[in-house]
Amino acid sequence: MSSPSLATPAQAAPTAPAATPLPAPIVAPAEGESRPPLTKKQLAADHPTWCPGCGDFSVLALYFKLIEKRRLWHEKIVTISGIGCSSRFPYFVQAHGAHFIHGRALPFATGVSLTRPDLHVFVFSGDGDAFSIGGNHFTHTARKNVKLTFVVMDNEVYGLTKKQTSPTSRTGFRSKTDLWGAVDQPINPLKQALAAGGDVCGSQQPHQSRAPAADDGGGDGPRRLQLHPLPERMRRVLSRRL
Amino acid sequence: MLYDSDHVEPKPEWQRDYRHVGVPISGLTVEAIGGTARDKGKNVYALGLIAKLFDLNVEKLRSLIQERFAGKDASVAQNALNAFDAGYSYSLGHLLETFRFADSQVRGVRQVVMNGNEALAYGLLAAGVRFGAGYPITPWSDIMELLRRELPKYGGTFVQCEDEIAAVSMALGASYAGRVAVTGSSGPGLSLKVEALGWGVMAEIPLVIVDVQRGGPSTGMPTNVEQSDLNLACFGGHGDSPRVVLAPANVEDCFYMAIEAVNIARRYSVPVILLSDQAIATRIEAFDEPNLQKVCQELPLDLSPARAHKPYDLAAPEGVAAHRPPGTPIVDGIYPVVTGLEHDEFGHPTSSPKLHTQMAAKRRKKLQALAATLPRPSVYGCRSGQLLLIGWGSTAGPIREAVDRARAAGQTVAALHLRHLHPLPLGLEEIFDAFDHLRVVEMNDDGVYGYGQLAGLLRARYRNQKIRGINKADGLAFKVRDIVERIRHDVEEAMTKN
Ligand SMILES: Cc1ncc(C[n+]2csc(CCOP(=O)(O)OP(=O)(O)O)c2C)c(N)n1
Ligand code: SF4
Ligand SMILES: [Mg+2]
Repeated sequence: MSSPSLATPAQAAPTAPAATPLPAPIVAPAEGESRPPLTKKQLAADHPTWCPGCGDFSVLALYFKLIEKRRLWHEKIVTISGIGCSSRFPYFVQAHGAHFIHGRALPFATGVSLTRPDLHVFVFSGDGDAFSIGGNHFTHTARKNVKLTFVVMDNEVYGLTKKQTSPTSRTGFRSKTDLWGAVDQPINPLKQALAAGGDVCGSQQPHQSRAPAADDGGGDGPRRLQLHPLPERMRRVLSRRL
Repeated sequence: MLYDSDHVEPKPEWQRDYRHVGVPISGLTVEAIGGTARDKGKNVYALGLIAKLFDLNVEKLRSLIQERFAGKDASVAQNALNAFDAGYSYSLGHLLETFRFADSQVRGVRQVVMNGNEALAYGLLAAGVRFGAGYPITPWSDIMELLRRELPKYGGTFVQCEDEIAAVSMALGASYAGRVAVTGSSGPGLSLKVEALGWGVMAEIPLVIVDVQRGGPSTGMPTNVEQSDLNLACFGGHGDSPRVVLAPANVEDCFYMAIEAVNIARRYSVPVILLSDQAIATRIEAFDEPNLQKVCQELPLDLSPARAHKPYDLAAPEGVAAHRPPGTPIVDGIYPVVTGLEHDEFGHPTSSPKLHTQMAAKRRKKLQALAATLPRPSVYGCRSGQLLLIGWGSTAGPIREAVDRARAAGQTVAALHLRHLHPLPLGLEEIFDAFDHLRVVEMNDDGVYGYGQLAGLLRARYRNQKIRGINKADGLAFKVRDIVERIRHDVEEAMTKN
């Protein structure tokens, strides 16, 4: 989808009543200005509420590493999510963030990306959020090829609602909703993304990954759509916990 | 009433209400054009008659006719002109002396002609909206088609989404990013948008949602009119989710209310629903050309740095903290999260009973603050009397005419038209007190408890026993006669009871 020419940042006049006046005028950073990389300390917000050992921690660590390595500007990062354990992500990142409704983070992020091509738009999601309730949006966002990075933490189960079958649960998976084992075939998100036209799709175990797991989707280069199934590890964690 | 005397014979009872003047339109048209056209061209002949009757600009009409039939065989345009000229030169005899028409063009004000959907879409453009998202459905589709065509001319975008949920989500994303956006639909589509609408209320993100009402429920009657989405618009969704609901009264109002909706959404960081309906959407009206120099506004993106920012500042005046879109540097390094979870002042989740109570009050108080700024609607007819008709949306015209007729018949009847439905403007109690009876005229069902949707809302709000309804839910617009008969019936009934 072609980018609309909507972004005219910085020099705009204030639109809403200003809060308390600033003590001294703060000049917005000049275009092309190089800044020191953001540190983990600057980027960490609330301590994650995930269970100890949850695979989502490693995705958060990689996200911090990516921001640091790419020297992204603090105010230009947007962290967007739907609903689920994995979707708690924005609270753990010290940056502009939006915690939207279950399954609809992709269209929300599309609205952000289309109106503001100057931003680095990251979307974090779970397998239920991305492929079940949001399944239609997944296909259509890939088809529209929006400039954003989509990271799915696929634990093959509904984590937040405590272990129900998800669309990526394997056949035979025993859950609270499938006491005798899941009968439906799991979907293959990677195939779906490719079939729908996602430009760059990948699948990784986070513990295999040294390099940043996701690209920021900035610039004019290829758009990125990253998928992160975390199967074996997460299942072990879950069966222990639940 | 001019009629084609070749085809119809007016019944004597019709003659009571209107004077009928017969013109052999069919025969004279055939005569003017020649035998080959049969009865084609009667409409253009009638246009000629009307042009004579109302003293319209003949040259302009002739050039419009030529334009209309350009590209076809030259004889077609010539036939049309012949029919027009014949109609224009027909002798209407004494008719022209019997009626004197006031000069129509002396006001010197240019007028524009369009339907309600167009007026609403142009209003959004004038208001500075540059992003929209939607999914096709009758009768909303016209608005999205127009915006898809027009927005790129102003550097904007309108996205056709995979469904209504994606559309409202995308619009919320754009609004969050600092560009107040619009989404819209009709009946079924509004139902789908409701969960995300609740998020907009909770996260306090401005948004304009257009609902062009049609017959419901479910797929209902897609091409008929009804005013039955009011409850959904005001209260739809889970939890307490105060939002703003406006309803334009005519085509011109669609234009100005679209601008007002955008400004309220921005001023109070809240979703605003614009309730139009199928009748206004498709009705073509002429109105004074808006002063575009005055009404058009730019909505520049404000990314000026903030020293610190609390997106849900409980101490903010009227409960409204400025929305800071992503891209805004926050100097103290504490960045806002906007969220649908109940939250603290920074947008982080909380289950604190105290914070939930405070935040719910904050969201509600914004609407109360808005209510205090709304103009008190004026009463049409008389300030006090037997009966006040209360209306909203496209029924404004027939209600006014019904008032005129009832007053001509000696009844003290007045009308009040509500354009701000939620929150309601202040001071309606005093208006209501001045009348013996109150009747809410609306195109929806009597309801399980005997009241239509606005009547129910007003009864709950004012606890006023006098409020009752004049309802109609057959998918057709009110006729003046329908209302007049109900007035007569209700007033007489009231008289005999007293
Ligand atoms: C409309 C709606 N339906 C259902 C829910 C309940 N719900 C919350 S999270 C969730 C599933 C989450 O699973 P997944 O996306 O895989 O995330 P995980 O918790 O595993 O990271 C469900 C069903 C909801 N919040 N909203
Ligand atoms: S329930 Fe599962 S997905 Fe959720 S935090 Fe715990 S380990 Fe992680
Ligand atoms: Mg999951």
